[in-house]
Amino acid sequence: MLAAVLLVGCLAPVEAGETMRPVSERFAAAGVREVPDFQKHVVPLLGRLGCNSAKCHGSFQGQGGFRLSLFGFDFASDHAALIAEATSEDGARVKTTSAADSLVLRKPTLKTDHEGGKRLEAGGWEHRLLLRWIEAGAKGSQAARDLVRLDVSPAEIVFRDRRADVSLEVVAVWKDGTREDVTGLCRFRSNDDSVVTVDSKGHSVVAGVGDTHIVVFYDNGVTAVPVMRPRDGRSLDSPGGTFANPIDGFVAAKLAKLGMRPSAICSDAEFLRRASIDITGSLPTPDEVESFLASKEPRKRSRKINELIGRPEYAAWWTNKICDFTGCSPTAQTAVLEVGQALSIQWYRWVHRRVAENLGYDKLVEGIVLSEGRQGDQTAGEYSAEMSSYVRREDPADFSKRKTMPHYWTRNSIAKPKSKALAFAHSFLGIQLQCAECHKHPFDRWTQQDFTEFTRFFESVGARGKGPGFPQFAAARAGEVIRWPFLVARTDEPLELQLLGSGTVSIEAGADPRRPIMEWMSDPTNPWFARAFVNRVWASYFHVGIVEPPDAFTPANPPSHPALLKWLTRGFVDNKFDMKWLHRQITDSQAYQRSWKPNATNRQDRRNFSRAIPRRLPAEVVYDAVKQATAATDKLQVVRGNLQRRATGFLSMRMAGTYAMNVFGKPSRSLNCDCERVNQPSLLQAVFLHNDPLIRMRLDESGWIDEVAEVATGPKARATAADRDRWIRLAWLRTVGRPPSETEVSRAERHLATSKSIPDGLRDLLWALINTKEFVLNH
Amino acid sequence: MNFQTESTISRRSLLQVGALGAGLTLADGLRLQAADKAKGGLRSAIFVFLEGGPSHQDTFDLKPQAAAEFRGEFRPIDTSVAGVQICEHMPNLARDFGRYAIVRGVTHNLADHGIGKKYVLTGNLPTPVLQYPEYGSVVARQHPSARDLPTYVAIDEAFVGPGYLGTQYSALTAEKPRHGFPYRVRGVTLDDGLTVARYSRQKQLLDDLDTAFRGFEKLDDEVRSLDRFSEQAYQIVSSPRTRTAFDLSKEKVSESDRFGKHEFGQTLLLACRLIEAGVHFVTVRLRPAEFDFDTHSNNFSKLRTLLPPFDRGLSALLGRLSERGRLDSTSLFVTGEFGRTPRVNGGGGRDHWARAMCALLAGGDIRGGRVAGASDETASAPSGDPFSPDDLAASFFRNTGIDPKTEFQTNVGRPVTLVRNGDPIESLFA
Repeated sequence: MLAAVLLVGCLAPVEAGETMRPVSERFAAAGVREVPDFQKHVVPLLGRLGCNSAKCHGSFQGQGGFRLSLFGFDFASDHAALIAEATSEDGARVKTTSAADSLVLRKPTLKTDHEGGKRLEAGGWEHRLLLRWIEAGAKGSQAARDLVRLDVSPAEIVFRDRRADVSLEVVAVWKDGTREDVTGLCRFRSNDDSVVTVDSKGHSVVAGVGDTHIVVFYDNGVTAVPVMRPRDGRSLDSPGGTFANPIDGFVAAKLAKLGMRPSAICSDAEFLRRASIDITGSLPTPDEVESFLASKEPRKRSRKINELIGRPEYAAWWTNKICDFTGCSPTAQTAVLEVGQALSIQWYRWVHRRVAENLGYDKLVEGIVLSEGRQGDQTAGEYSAEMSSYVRREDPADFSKRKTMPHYWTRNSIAKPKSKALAFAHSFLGIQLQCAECHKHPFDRWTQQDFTEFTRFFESVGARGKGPGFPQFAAARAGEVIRWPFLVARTDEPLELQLLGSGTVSIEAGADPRRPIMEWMSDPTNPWFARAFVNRVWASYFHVGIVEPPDAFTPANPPSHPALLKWLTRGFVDNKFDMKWLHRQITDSQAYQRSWKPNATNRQDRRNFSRAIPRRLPAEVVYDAVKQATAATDKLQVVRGNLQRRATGFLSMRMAGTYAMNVFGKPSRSLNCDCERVNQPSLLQAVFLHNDPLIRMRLDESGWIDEVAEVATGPKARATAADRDRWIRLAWLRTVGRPPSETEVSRAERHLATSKSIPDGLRDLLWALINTKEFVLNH
Repeated sequence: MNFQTESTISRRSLLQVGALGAGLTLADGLRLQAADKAKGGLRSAIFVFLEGGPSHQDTFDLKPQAAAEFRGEFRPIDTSVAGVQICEHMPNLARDFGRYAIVRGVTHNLADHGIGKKYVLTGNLPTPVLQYPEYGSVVARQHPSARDLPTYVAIDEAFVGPGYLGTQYSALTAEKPRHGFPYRVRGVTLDDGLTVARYSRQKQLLDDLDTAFRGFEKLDDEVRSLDRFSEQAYQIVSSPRTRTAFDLSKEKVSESDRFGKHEFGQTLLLACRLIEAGVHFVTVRLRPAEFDFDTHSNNFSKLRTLLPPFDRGLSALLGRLSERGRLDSTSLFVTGEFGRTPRVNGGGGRDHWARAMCALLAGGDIRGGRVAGASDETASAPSGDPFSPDDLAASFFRNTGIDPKTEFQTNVGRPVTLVRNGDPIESLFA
């Protein structure tokens, strides 16, 4: 039986009625009889004038004793604040008896001192609109009206000239069929002032080459208009023909519009290193590089992609990623570090098993979202025995075989329902609700009401009981059964809740409130769930997402390639959320396999995938890569393939918070933000790679250098010139995954010749190569 | 060249490094100093954090008139300023009161180590949606040191990190020094057998091989900043200035003894040397294993061990800064995460208590010998106008030359005020 029913909210069809002229015209002349509407006209106008911004009356303390809701969407409290008696001696904010004396008109026209400066022109339409509203009794809104959409024309702007400009027109379409030109009541924002600027009236002027959006805000509507300024003002001819991979069709179409040509396809060596790092978090081995470069097989790149996706390192690296998105962290679990570590390792292993089996992403998430504490009719005692069996030192049971993974919900860090709502929206929907916690989201449709309702889903979800302290945990490690907190997810009362603007959900008393959310997410038409993951995977391969930042889906932050995102999301859903399909589809495109070297047309490009953008290796990858580059030849496969010993593998959670991981920006996974994983270079990273004891130790104790030393030094030294050249070649293959050029070989030879010994010189060479940009960047 | 014999750095090798262009010339140093002056009163700063939450009523806010179960075992002694008394176990700091100010009546409500520390180490109430930066990271961002020096050093370790400012403003972390042991700094000290000369030769090889992106440095930020940081790392590691600053063996034995043989004093001595060399911020936060003010039991016997090295070390620091004319150009802040319970518990200890605590501020524009704020008769709560950790942070920032109302952008573009809720404590400033 279904515990809940999802009622999809349906919108009344809008009659194609006549569009009302803009208020700027209607209120232009004196003697107007029309009474403006509080929600439709007064609040948006205050917003456009900047009254309810964070620096002015939208501040949580208000300003001068007058407070408006930030970005305006709390009509009742805004109305109350406006008609309230002002505390100052200057008089009432709103005086219906002599409207012109109202403080809200005197202040912004500077008839009375106003810290916020002049905001209104006396006698202008804005002034008259507010005046009319006050004269007519300064009435608030009766029932809230629902905005259906904003129609903006033009729907897309392509600037051909260096001095081109366009005026936007915005029509608001309301649920009752009313249409009104609201251009003068909107807020406008350019997402990139170096491409286009826009003034408060919607007048847009080209500023430079590139592409971005102008965002229009009115009521709770947010609409973005794509703006492009092609290079030389000319778009290129639309690329004809068909593309083996549809991704390339979408990318090429946009590049043509922008007048850009993509960079050449990267070399085989670049491809191999890039794909190995991105798919498996590992460097290729020297043998692998040599045989890949030597292969004449025409489809060798596609084959290599399949091979990489089949490796255990793929599962390890992408488990690590999914742990990023879902917030798997020892410190988030509980205050007792040992327990937190054990639980987060369980979490990692549980996800890993499913990624390795290539379980559908929806099913994987379901095992987290609908996870259970006590399973079936398990008693408290049986449950404690089960949980204890996973941590005992001798012959521990395998947590990853457990049907579901409850640690996501039982984390200390999200004990409050609000925190659960925020974390959930971030993990699985790629949206940030933080702003709506306290005020209307400035760049999204979310209101505080939306957030409050969403939070209520999680009020009855959480851990029952206290987690073990260190002594209890130690006892469990020694084989005793101890008590564990268990997850409960059951509402006591029937609920009727709005689900993020997607309709109303009814939940019976005693039902699991998470179930309707999961059903809604795995519905193929759900707008967020699949898209959020697709975009995050894309961002991992391309340095930026199609939506960027990848966890900031808002109407004000539209995708750079909407059709591409839609196609890829559809494909992912149609392929039953097959993660390997997604990885293969993306990496087997020309877009992914471009060189980072720009051509004359695409130097500026960072958002349109016309070239590869060099990215610093992630923390775990740097750590494993240095280890692999210095390992003995016969250990190379083990160093790469033994997940027990890899920072991207099962060591991932043990190494969380260690010095090397912190320096290179492994996230502590305590924030609801993908930005927590830091990929920027820093001074400490350079100090680390130059001279950290760990790096020096890897070089001093390098198994490979030991091998060389056996041949090159000592009484039985028998190194030939050919040996030396082979070693030099290997140093390059081990670190940057390509053979050295002739110049590089001779520079290295010169160094070896002046070194105390060949092993010493090679150690310097490895040190230098590990410190090149070519090593630390994925390019 | 022979690398084996050069196990220590000779004067000549230092000169060689300078000649290679890695060292900073005197002229550079003077130029930077001049630039600092022009920047309008930016100062170096030392932040001393007393881990565990030191008992306020047994250190700088004694209540001799209170009933025995509140006032505890210690007696007050007079300081150099009439009417102001502090604990008998800090005679040096009593004598030197003219060099620092006491803030009493500081209050907040986070009586838990983790979250309380986050609050006091950032001056902002912790929230799950935003990581605030620790003080040193703010200085690293606003007031960078010369290129061959780290701007911000943390001993033993930073706790909060650079938060929304980004990892490039992280501390260089250094182990605490131990009296009589050779001193090493992770990543900066060259290992045994590794000389500056060999390191320079490695760097030369690196410069010759790092050519893949040559000509494209301007294209991508990542590429450009990797070059910059690599060069700076080399300068710091090979620089005579940085290694000399960290080399405590350069101190006379008498000076070293003056700070006390305890590692707290030795750490303050190191902090002093770093500031003198041109490092702009040092955080001193010893791990609680060695210097733990979390006195749930035997509060008084523990403080009898903790206070003497604290007293000796801090007064030596103030003394040295003052004697060398650096107290005016250095801003100092000493505090813990909270105070301790007014009533002594059954185990002779005091538990966490955030409603009242105290702090010290010194240097720069802070007027020594002053007391701001007060607590009630049992040291349970502020009496009169209370101060918050935010106010302490705002005062510290102002004294360091940074406007506490500076606005930053987080990496999601959200504007954040450095210290949103605090204001400088005016009565402490000249």
